[in-house]
Amino acid sequence: MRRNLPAFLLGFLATSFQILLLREFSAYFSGNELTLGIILASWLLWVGLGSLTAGKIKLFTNQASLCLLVIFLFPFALLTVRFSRFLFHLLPGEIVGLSPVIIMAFGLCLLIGFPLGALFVINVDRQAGNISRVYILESLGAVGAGPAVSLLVTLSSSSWATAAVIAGTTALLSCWAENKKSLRLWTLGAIILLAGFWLVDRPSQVAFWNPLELLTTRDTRYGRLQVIRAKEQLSLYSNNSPLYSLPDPAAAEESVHFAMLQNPEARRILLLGGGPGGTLGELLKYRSAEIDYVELDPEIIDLSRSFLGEEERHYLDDARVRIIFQDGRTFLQETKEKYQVILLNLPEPSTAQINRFYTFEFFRLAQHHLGSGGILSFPVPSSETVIGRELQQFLSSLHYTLSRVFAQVRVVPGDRNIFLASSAPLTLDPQELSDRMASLALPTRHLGPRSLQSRLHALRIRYLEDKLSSASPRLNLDRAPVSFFLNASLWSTQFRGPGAGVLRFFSQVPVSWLLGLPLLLFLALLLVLRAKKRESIFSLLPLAIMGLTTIVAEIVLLIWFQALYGFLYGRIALLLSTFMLGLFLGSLLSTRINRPTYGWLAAVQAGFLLLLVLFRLAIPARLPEVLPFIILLVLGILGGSLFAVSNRIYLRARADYGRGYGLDLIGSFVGALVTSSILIPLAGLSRVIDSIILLNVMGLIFLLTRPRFRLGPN
Amino acid sequence: MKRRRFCETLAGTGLLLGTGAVGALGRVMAFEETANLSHAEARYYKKHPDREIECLLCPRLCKLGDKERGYCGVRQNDGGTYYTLVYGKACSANVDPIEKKPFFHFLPGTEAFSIAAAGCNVNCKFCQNWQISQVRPEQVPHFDLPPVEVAAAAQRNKCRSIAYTYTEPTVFFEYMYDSAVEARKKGLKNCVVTAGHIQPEPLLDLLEVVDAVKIDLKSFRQDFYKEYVRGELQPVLDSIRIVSQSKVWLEIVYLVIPTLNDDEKDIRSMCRWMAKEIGRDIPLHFTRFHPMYLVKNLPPTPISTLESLHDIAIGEGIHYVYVGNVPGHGAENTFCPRCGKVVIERFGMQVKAVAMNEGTCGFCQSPIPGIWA
Repeated sequence: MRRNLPAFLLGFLATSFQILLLREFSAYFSGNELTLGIILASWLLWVGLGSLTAGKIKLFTNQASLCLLVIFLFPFALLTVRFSRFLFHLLPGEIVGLSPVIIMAFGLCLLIGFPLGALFVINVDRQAGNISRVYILESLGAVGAGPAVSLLVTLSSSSWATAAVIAGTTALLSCWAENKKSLRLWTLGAIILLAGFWLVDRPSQVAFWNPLELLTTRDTRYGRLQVIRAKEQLSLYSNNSPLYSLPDPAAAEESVHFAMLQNPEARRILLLGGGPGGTLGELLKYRSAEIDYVELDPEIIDLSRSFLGEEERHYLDDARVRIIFQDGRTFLQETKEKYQVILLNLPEPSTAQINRFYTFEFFRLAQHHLGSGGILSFPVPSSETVIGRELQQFLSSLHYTLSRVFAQVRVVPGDRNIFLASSAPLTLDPQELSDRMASLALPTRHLGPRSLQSRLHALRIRYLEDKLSSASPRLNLDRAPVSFFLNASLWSTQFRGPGAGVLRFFSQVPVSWLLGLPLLLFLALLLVLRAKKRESIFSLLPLAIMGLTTIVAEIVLLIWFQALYGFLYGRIALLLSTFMLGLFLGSLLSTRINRPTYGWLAAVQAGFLLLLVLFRLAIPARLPEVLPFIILLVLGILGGSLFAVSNRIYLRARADYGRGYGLDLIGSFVGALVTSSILIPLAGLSRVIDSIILLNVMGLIFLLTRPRFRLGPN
Repeated sequence: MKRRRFCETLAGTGLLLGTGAVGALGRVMAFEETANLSHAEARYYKKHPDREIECLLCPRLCKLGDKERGYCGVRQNDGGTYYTLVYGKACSANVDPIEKKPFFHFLPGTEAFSIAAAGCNVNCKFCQNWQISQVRPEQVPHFDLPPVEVAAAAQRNKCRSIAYTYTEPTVFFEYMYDSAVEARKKGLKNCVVTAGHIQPEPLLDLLEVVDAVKIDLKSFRQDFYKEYVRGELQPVLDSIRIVSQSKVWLEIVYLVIPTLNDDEKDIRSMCRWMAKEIGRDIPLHFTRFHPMYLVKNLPPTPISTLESLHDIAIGEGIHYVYVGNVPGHGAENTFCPRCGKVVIERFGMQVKAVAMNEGTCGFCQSPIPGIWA
């Protein structure tokens, strides 16, 4: 038990810390795919480099001391993320660009990831070179980390409390496993530090928001919710972005009335997200309206009830409002209800997760639930005065996608564009809308005859419509979610520096080049490596390919899964744990192979190919929900087997335990960096998997055409 | 060196691709879009030896070598001659209610033909129009709209005035000036919406051809200007003083950003300065901030903050103090400072009732300063 525990703890600690660090980053930096990709890639890079370095240089030999060092460093890493606004001289509420993300991700992942990578090698040393056993134990630890973090966050409503409990428990168990008196004092020190860290969670959030007042904070499985007060102005933030601010009648009025005035008699209304903050109040001004309000996170309603006062509580409790706690898309997939108006009141499509509500498939689903003449409406941030190139591309993709489903699409100009879609004619005639408001005696503050005249002036509408129709728009699909890439590209132009042009550059590169060029470069690399005829290359290269393949396939599968089945939040931990379980089983099974050979390696590589081809065939179909789990499990089994076999072949010649692990993670680093942020949105899921299939074909041919090596003793 | 070349390549690629896109767009725009920049000689600069020049338009006083551009990004030294790149190149043209600028004492209830060209000489973190103000003109789709056409378009759209707005009109000074001259020929009025970051000489010249100026006073503290605006306070105060001493109508807008520039002591000092230096009759608008650009995650300004600042200004003797961006608020109305009655009733951009007689209060006949017809 004591001998095996540290390797298990390593997997548990590394995965927990990775999740918690990502959560903290998401809470304070823009949590789009680009930034998350950078953070994940930095993590994998440094863990990989830590492993590679430790295999060569014996900087640390004591497992428990290094584990304690990571535990000491982790609170500082989280604190640094939280206080990064002071480091970069940012205001509370100021958005953060790409450069700070890169600096912070690479810096902090070095601090935590590098020693964790080294710990893998130290654990192999401790297990007398039995790398498979360490890999098995580490995978087993990782299996438990996701559910443990989820459970602790739910119980404590605090990421930092979760971090303290996980790190403290690991420190104690590690100390017990090592059983050295000298470590006890350090462990006690770590526990005291972690307790202090837990205690400063709230004060540090207060300091972050100062001089604004933090009323409450709550970590849920979806992110960090905070209620901020500036005098009587109350705002609910999710991961540092406002969900709503009260009072803000302009936002609430325009979200509701442009759509509702198309059919003021509409009775069946579906509101997806964003009910509190005035929206429900505006909807309830229509006497016949019955509202189904679907909200993903119950905590949002709970906090709104607690802090927003009597009027908002009254709206939430109105007999005409039915609140449903569910993912909006899943709700629409499951319900048989028909609606006359569907209002999408969600954040803009800045992530793959939110983008699911702006795709061709979602619009078709909404159309299915709208009766004849029903209206779908949603707002997105825009510009009233000028539509620049990036904004034009982003808005055009939404407009084009909507136009492919609905016969009528109109867009209200303004600093927020209100998209309206229907099978029946829609009006943006300011006089007509003013008359309808007057006949309903609709009490509004911001929308009035003159503001409508200005906002819906023919010059403005024509300018916007020309912009929307004259770009070369891209269709936003579940399987090629381009709008969130275009949104990230728009986001990046707000900041100065070369980062602003990078996404624009990629958006102009033809997809064939985007995927083909890396493959050609890889082919050239294989030819060079083939000429070298070094055995270590042939035993270890499959690891790098495996690292890249598994991470790309995982990301593709997660995006595919959430597009098809919706509720990713509840399933993500389970999906990732299934993969980890596969790794564990794969490495366990391969210990039964007495004498691994290149034939085994080629067989596993062929297994990868077969699985990828099957996955590729499954992408266009809607198959039972269990299938993604099976794919991930088999992917894990193949990954675990390949890791064990490849390492065992390599270690016959050299006792460098870190190299294989390091290459696996560096392959993953490449995949993490570009897959979700660039490749999937621009090329689509299918073509990304096609490329990975080609990559694996090359890898397999490389293996099959290897020179003859004499294998050393097992 | 390599990195620089990479950046240049990226910028160049973006530029070339963008140029193609703009060309394709031109055919269907309400105004014809073009990829060309202007090459009109700028005014207000001094030539130095070795093809260097010194820009005298704004307080930055940029000293530029050959082929260099000023801080604004829209004025370039080309062989020792200084050129404006945005003359006749509008990037935005709309019809707005004059109350949207906001002007409350200038042709109330009328529309202003509003134009902008790219660029700005300050860099506010809360800019509403960052897509056109914080970029180079090559990055912004724009169209040919020479001064004569500006005036004609304003007439076509039944506007009483032309507003030079959205970005900082100082940086397209020559275009604004010549458009104003053309507008006057057609009997239109001109109003300028500016941050006031301009040198006295061009400002005095401009005041000869325009009718109203709205100056955004962003704070009464130099450190705020330095940190959040990347500009200087004193030149703005000088501009306010110069306009107030001219025949041109002046209004001041103070965008209140929660926690950043809402200190009551500062506002009191500002009002005292106004009362002493420019008089009590210059309208002062405290407008509500809505999250924008880099500070888009800040909450909007609490209305009670606006009300407190409004009360401070009234207490300091400023006659016309308004609360903006809060439709339906009582402080949107114009009150006669003598009899205290409402002479112009507003609801948002809507002018609901006017109780005035040729520039005087309809109740007590006290003059209400402004341009009313």
